[in-house]
Amino acid sequence: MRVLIEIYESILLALKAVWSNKVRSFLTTLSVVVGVSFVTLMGWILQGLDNALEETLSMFGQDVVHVDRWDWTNQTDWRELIKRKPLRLKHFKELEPKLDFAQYAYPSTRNNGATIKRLDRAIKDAMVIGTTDEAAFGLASNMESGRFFSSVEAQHASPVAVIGSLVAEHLFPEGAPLGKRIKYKGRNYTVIGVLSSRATLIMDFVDKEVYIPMKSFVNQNGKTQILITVKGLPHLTQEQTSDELIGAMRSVRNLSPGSKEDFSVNSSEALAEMFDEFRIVVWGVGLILTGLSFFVGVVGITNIMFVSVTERKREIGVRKALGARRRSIILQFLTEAVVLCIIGAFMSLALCSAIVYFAVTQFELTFAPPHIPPFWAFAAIATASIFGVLSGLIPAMSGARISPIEALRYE
Amino acid sequence: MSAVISINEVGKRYIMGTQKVYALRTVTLDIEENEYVAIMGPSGSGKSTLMNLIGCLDTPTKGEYLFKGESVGKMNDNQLAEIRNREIGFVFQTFNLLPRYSSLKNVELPLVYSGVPGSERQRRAQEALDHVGLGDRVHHKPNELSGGQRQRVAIARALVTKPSIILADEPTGNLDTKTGYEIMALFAELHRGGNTIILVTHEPDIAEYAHRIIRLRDGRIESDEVNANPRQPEAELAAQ
Repeated sequence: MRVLIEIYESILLALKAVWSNKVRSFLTTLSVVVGVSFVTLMGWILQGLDNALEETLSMFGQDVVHVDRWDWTNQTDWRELIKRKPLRLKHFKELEPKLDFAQYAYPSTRNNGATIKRLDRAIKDAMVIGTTDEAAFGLASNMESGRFFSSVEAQHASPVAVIGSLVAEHLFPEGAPLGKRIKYKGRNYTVIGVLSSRATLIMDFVDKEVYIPMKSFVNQNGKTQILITVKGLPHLTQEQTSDELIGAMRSVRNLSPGSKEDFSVNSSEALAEMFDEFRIVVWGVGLILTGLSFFVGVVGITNIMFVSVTERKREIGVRKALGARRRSIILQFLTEAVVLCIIGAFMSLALCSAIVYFAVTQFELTFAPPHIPPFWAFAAIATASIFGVLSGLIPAMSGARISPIEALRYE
Repeated sequence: MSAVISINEVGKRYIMGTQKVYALRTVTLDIEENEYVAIMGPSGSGKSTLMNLIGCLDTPTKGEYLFKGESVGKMNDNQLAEIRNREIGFVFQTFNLLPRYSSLKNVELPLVYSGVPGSERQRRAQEALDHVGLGDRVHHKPNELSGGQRQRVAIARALVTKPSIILADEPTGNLDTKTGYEIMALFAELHRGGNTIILVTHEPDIAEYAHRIIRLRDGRIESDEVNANPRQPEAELAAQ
């Protein structure tokens, strides 16, 4: 009971002390604001990053694997990579009959930075992808309007195109692009389908894609390197599909047993692993920065609390004469430090909310939430309390140790 | 009557660097309930040290000090705090009110440390302020009060726990003569009401208000006399 009464009184007193030294309190809380803002913004960024990574991963398809000359996870030495033979369309043709474990498979090739024109409008950084009709399976859920090209259209190199949402927006500001023509390297293509927006933080280019039949692409661009995308049968795990695919590819490439593969089978799982590493790096950097600002903040408040204790030495003496125990004095100064820090935390939350809201609305960061995640707001306040206890403890104890006589004599 | 304070061959020695300083050599004295005692002496006589010991702000380095039969010398910090809170009401020369607190809050403070709940605290603080004639100044802060009023708040604060003794250190030192009379009149009234009052002063004419005068010199008691004719502050006030 006595402790509760003292805690309650300490909080009132702390609020009063903070209020009566407004400027100093404000300056003191700045260091808390910096520290806590780090924690909250870190939390927000990490949350946004996680969202972005997840979106990106789901875009790759949870259950498809990709054969490529390149290793997407950077786990293969680059010197080995550049020695690999390119992956060509003929390899896919040889591979296709062996894919009895696949639901579907398609080759694709791309031309980055392509210019697509329509009347007097143009988009200069489009990505033209040549592929077959089986790519439709992977994009089925992303068709906004129209359709993907058929196997007949693919085989006959028909001049048809399926365009990304940004391309559609850019070239057809008036809407209704279906049936209209666009021009790629001097050749006309009829738009037969439009994809919905799929951009993520890391993959913002996907809305600038233009899909055309592989044969049309080869006719215009000549021999090209390809990527092979394979989806295994439903009962196969991604790993099993990868293993099957590696076996099939080895026989296509005529590799002797025991020799290294001269291709890579990339899966979203491998990518996820890479993202995890990336995430750890971001977390690590964040933790170091947070820790550093935390340390600086604690030292700053400790200093101010020492000043506060010295300034109120006489008050400590009076309180002790009136019967305050050491505990009461410690409680008083600790509460003051914690109150100061929690006020700082709320200031910081307000600041961070403003920053986050501004960032999200101004830069259209669709991947990140437009507010501080509740968990991180809670973490901020908890951090601030720890902050307060850590920085208030030593000054409070030194204040409580002063003898009442010495304290009463203090002018 | 029983002795509230029983001091037996008590001394206090400080060590300053390599030197031993005897602030109080050897003092023996008893103070009974409802006594009105003045402790007098020039500076350096040891009266502040004696006051600190009596007030349980400090412990003696020799001898025995019994407060209501309990040995203070063996108490730890918390026990000393407890006894100060419960048994001793301090009145200081410089009032020592907390500037951010209203009169009422200042008077409530000792009750906070004894764990009295809020409403009860307020009631008792109001009562104490009424007692010293400041019932209408409860929400004023110290800087909104005159010197005499501040000292009255301090006396109310000393009274609020109903302590065994009131220990006043130069209570009129910072007040003009007339206000000093008023404060001494208040002490006289408290004494008549049954309180034990110990006045520490270096001014002989203030000591004259007490019924017993103890004079200190060089850390020893020089004289300990009954004041057969204490000054009557009420009469002096009326004469002014």
